[in-house]
Amino acid sequence: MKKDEKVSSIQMLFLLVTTVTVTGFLFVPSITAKFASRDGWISVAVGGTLFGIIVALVCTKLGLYYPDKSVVEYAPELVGRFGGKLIGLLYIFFFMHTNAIIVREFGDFLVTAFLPETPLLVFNSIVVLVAAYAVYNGMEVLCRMNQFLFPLFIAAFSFIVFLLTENISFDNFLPLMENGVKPVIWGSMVPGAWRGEILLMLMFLPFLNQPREAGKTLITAVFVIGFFLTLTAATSIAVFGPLLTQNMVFPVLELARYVSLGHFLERLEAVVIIVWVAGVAVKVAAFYLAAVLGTAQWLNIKDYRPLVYPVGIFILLYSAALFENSRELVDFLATVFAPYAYFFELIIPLGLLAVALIRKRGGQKQ
Amino acid sequence: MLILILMMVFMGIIALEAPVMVKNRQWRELAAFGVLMLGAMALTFAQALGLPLPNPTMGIEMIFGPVSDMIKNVLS
Repeated sequence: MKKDEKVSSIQMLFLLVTTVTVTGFLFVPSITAKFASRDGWISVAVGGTLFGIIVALVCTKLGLYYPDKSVVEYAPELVGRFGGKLIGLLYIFFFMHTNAIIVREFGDFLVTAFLPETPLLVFNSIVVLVAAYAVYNGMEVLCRMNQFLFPLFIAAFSFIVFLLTENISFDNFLPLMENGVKPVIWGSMVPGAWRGEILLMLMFLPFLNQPREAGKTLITAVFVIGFFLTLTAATSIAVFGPLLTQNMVFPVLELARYVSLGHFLERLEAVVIIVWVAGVAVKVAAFYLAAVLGTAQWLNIKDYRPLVYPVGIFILLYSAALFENSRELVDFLATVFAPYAYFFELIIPLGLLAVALIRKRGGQKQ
Repeated sequence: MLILILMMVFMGIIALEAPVMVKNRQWRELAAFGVLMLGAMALTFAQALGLPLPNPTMGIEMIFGPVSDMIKNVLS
């Protein structure tokens, strides 16, 4: 690992926002609408954000005990050699597995929505190859690439929401919390798990040039992500109503298709697809980098670059082999993924933080 | 045919990576690369030949499925 690679807080903020939003805004609206119906946007706005803030606080508090190390490196120091290595291995597994799921989401989306005749593996290998190149060049390159993409992503997205304002009907939000608060909490499980992907900070904290600002960065990231995901979920429900939203696979895509300004500005899903493909490449690269970096640190290797291709092959292979079809994927995301992700996002960091608090008596190193 | 293409891809990756590590005397890196690459190759060939792959989804569903059901029962 090149220790001299540093990124600024704002670059990290952009990276985290792109990473979480890019798949979130495609899958979250329909999944939350399934659980919470027309209150889906409350789930995203309140439940998801609260969980995100907790994860952010735990991750920064834990990370700042060792500002120049990642979780794979300091876990053995905290809970002993065997336990620490086990936790490191679990995290490597989590990053690789999640990344395989992300790559699969990407391929599935393109196959279902645009190019049904093309084999899934074509899309998967292209995105993994692009991500591998980004990872090979390191964190700084990845962040700069994202710094260019992020404004485009936000602009395209805001543009579509703006064009849809005439179709928005706020009656679709009423009555609020018709079935009580329980469905809303249940609906916030999945957006919470998505927001928790900011746990990448456990791996990327050593790259920050101002580690002290990590907490502020993470919390800002949670709010920005919350804003955009809420906007998507709310717009889908306001335009299509809860029933239609929960039966759609990709409500955002339908939103973009819905835009029609004087029969002149139409078929904007092309815009969605352009920024989305670029954004997913960043997301895959971020998780890929975390996995490769973790593997290298786990094996005490200084240079992670030789591991880029083997890890990429694993990710690509499992992106195809994990699920038989896209129904299985959505089912996994809607049910098992949330507790599975919570285990890595909150329970393990919380345990490590407890050990750190006891062993260090709350005194953080500089 | 598929196996042949895969072989060529793997040879390409090894030819690209290994000489640099040998030149820089990075034996630890070389060992890690070798082991991971062997694993990746074995799994890829298994997939290409239609053999079953170890799939973590089942295990994850077994461990976290009950948790998911429990939450569902509490909240609905």
